[in-house]
Amino acid sequence: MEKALTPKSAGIAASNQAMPALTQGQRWRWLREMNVTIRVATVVLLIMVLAVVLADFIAPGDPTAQSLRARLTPPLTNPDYLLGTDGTGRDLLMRLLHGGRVSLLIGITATIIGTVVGVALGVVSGYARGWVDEVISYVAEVQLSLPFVLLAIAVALVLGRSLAVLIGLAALSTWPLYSRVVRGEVLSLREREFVVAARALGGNSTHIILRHLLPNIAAPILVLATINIGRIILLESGLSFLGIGIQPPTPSWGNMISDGREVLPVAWWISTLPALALMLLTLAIGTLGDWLRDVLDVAVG
Amino acid sequence: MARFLAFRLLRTLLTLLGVVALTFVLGRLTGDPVALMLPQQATLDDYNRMRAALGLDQPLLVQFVRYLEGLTRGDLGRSIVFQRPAAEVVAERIPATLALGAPALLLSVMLGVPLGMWAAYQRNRLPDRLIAGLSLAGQSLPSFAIAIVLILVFSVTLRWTPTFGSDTWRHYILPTITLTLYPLAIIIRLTRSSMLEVLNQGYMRTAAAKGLSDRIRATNHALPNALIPVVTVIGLQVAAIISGAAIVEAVFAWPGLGTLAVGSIGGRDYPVIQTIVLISAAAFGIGNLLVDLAYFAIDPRIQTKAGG
Amino acid sequence: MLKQWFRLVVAVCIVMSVVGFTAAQDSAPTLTIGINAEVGAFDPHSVPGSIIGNRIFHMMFDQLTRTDSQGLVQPMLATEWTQTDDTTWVFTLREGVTFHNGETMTAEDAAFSLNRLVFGEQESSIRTLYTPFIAGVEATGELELTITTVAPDPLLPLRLSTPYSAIMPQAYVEATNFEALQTAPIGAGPYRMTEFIAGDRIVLERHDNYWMGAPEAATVTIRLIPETSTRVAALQAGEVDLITTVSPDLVDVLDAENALRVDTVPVYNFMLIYFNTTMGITQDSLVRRALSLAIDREAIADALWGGRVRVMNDFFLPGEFGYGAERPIFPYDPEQAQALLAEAGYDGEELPFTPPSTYYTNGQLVTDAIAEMWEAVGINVAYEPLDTAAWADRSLGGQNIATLQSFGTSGDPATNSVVQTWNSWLGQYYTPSEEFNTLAAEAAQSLDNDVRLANYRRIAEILETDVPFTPLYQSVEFYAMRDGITWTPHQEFYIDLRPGAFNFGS
Repeated sequence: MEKALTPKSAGIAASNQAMPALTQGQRWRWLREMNVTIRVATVVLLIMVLAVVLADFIAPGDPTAQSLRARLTPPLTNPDYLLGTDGTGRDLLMRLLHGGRVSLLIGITATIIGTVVGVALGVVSGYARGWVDEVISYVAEVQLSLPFVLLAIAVALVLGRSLAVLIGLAALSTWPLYSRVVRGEVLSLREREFVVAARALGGNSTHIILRHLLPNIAAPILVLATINIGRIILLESGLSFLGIGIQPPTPSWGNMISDGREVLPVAWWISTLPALALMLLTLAIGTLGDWLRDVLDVAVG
Repeated sequence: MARFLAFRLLRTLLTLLGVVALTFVLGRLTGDPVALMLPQQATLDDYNRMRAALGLDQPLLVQFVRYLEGLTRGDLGRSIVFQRPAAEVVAERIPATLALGAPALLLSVMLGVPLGMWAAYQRNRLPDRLIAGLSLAGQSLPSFAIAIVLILVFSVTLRWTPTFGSDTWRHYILPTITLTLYPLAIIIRLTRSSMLEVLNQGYMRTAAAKGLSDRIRATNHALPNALIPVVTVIGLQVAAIISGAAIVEAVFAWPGLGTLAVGSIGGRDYPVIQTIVLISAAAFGIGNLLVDLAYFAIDPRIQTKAGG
Repeated sequence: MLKQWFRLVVAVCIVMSVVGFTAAQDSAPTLTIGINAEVGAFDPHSVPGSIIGNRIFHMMFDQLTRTDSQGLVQPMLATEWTQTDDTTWVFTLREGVTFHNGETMTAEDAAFSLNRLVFGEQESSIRTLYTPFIAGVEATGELELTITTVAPDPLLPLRLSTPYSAIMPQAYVEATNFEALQTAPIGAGPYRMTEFIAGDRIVLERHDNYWMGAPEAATVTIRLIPETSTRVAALQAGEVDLITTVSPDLVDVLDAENALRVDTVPVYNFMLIYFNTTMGITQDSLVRRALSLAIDREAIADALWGGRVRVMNDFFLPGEFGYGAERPIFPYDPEQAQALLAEAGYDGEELPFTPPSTYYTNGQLVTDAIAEMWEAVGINVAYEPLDTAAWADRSLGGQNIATLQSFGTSGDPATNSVVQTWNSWLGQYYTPSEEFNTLAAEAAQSLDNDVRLANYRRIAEILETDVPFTPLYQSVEFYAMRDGITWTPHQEFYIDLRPGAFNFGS
């Protein structure tokens, strides 16, 4: 499976200054810098998010309801099934909307969990150093040494293929990278004047971490997290291909693409439509991630 | 340096032990292969007899100790599916995966680093935007979908390339493209941003002020510094190679470690799974050690930090 | 610097293409077959039995008997056999049969092989097919083999017709270590294995001294292509001549292509759902009957199989002794199903439905549909398709409540899973009555066909009442191949390439 890759000991070369408050002019700079591509990406993303959130209003009904007699209906040929049906006659429009919801849900939730855990462990690791650091680094190294596909298949076989398990797996694939990156950052920030000064003034650790360290790594983390959402949505489809994606009949874009691949010669739409949707989404997210990175002026992969 | 190496080696060994233990427990939690092997007519007695013959009736700890004992003798066990030594079964598959993974990695570096540098120098101009588009596209579809589309277009419709297998160089085209896209995109992005970062550094401005030519500035000053994170990524790719290959190999019927790994989990062939994990973890350890050594080569000022 | 880099990359590509274009294409009379799964080891006496094993071993090994396309037992390495008393059989072996290594087969080889299969030291999961029946094997002449059975067993010749009872040369097997044997098997079949690259291919060369005469294809290359869409693409692109396990939805499309043909063969087993009669809501036979009535088998056959499978109307298959041809198909009646559920006092308890997800062709689509049909009559289905090993584990552990399964037969209900299977691990799910067992035992040994027929029909009635399982449809296999090839698929999944069975056409 694809892995998000970020520098290890090099860390993110984040903005090296403690970020000063933005001036009024700078505050709106980001809007001026939005070119056409960015605006299109934003609109696409907003529409997609709205569509999957409002799925029940746009295409009311059960996305798992079958109609064997109407299976493999092509798009735009039957008003009851606007985008056609799949191999058991389920409505593709409904499945696209609900599947997108599942894919986005996994992408966002897993990113949040993975980020929070990764950042927390990274900060602790970098700030406390010593044996705490050793233990956390060891766990991360054991996990990274295992081919993630094997780990994911084994976990899915033991715990099942529920939404929670998949979110957990996706988060698991996320945290070590964050903890490595953040640890490196914290190690270098730790010795910086403003942190040393805060310590000298008797600030306690929690205070220093919350007030001085975290704000300084917020920007790169935000950028990484944006990119990570797209990565996890791809990860979920890869796992679906290997038969350990979300448990059918619940749709996800990943299992829809995977399910339709064998019948591409007779029913192109089953795989192609979710693949197009997924491509649009990851392109929009990626474009915005790139833009955020440029605006926030952070260098991350 | 020697102390650093010794420390790293010890650490790698500890990691391997952790990996082996984790795989052992997790593998056995997924159930055993005996039910899969028996015909429908088999009785529960047959089942128990077969389990005993494979030593699967023993407590987990006993099985683990036996496995470790075997390891110290260099015995990785016998594959349940192939009925031959697991080491032999796994070793046969390594060349195919290397033959696919190495060119993919090489191509993504050979193309990704210069493209990323170019994009950085052309920041916000047309080439930068085109390259950004390319790298986004490489990360926008799951690899199995890309692979199937490539086969349908180039093999079935145009008949330019073979659909599957690994016989001639032509067979390498589609799988290599599929496997290259994702790391290529990552390396482009990484090189670009890390290059931009370096170009803003004081020493680059100093070099410019000293009147050094663009080219010398790029190769002697910017590149080495910008390459550090890229080298790290390459190190991490060594572990990702089996994961990435698992899907690409499955689509293109490529006889490598990836398909063996997934198939062995399907068949609960523990000795083979454990051997694959052991080898890939060792490769990951060695890869990272090489990365650390590469840091020295690129920039001798970097301090060796144990556990870094 | 950048320009130099790109020049280098372009140069590498150009050199590679020049090298490639000069590589010539060869066109030996090779048959290339694309299969969906592989066999890892080639010692027929120790491997697990499998569909894919049936396909491949049948090309490499011969055994005493074989079944023809009607399922009747025919001579192979044995020319004739007689039963000298209740438990003793004498087989006369064919003269002048040579193994792949040139040695001539003797009764010693045959005795050695069958003894190794049943009693050998090697671990063997396939052995369980023979140990309950065979008591001893002995060479009693140059070409005479005597086999004693544990109990009277009219089906012994049939049992010896699978390629797992292959005859191998004693001297070779004894001289070869077990692990080496796995990749260098020697048998007496029409093809000899010359190369095995795990995960990739098996290369077979024609056995020129094969007793039936040399087969048509000089070389057979079996390529492993697990991904169905790739396997189909490889056939369309002309890289393979024949593929197994085609998705039913693609049959029409491939058949319509100019250069291709799809053959459909009903196989000797049928799909069914079995229930756990000892736990869960399926303990109640009313619930089991309701579950059976809720399944619209015709819709499944028409919509998911393009009408290419035969909906079951009996517990036995057409051609099998005792088959009730006049019976109507198993009924679909959702109203009655709901009534039965109400009568059983069903109030929404969960029904775990744990079929294998990829093991059976089209299996997941079929179980998706069945889960939905059960939901439609008000059952609260917990539908969880499992990976094959997990499903097998769960099945042997007696933990299924309802699952998908196939039952096979070899032409007589005495070998049929329907009658015999309850002695195996499946006995955990259903214990047949005393009457059932008596009828089955009597039918297996009786020589009076009227008695046997009556007994089997009575067994069908018992199954109808008890509903330990409910049949769905008879399985089929689809083979897609290059037009012009003459070949008839076998109902036991065998790929038979013997002289007369296969030729390339013009």
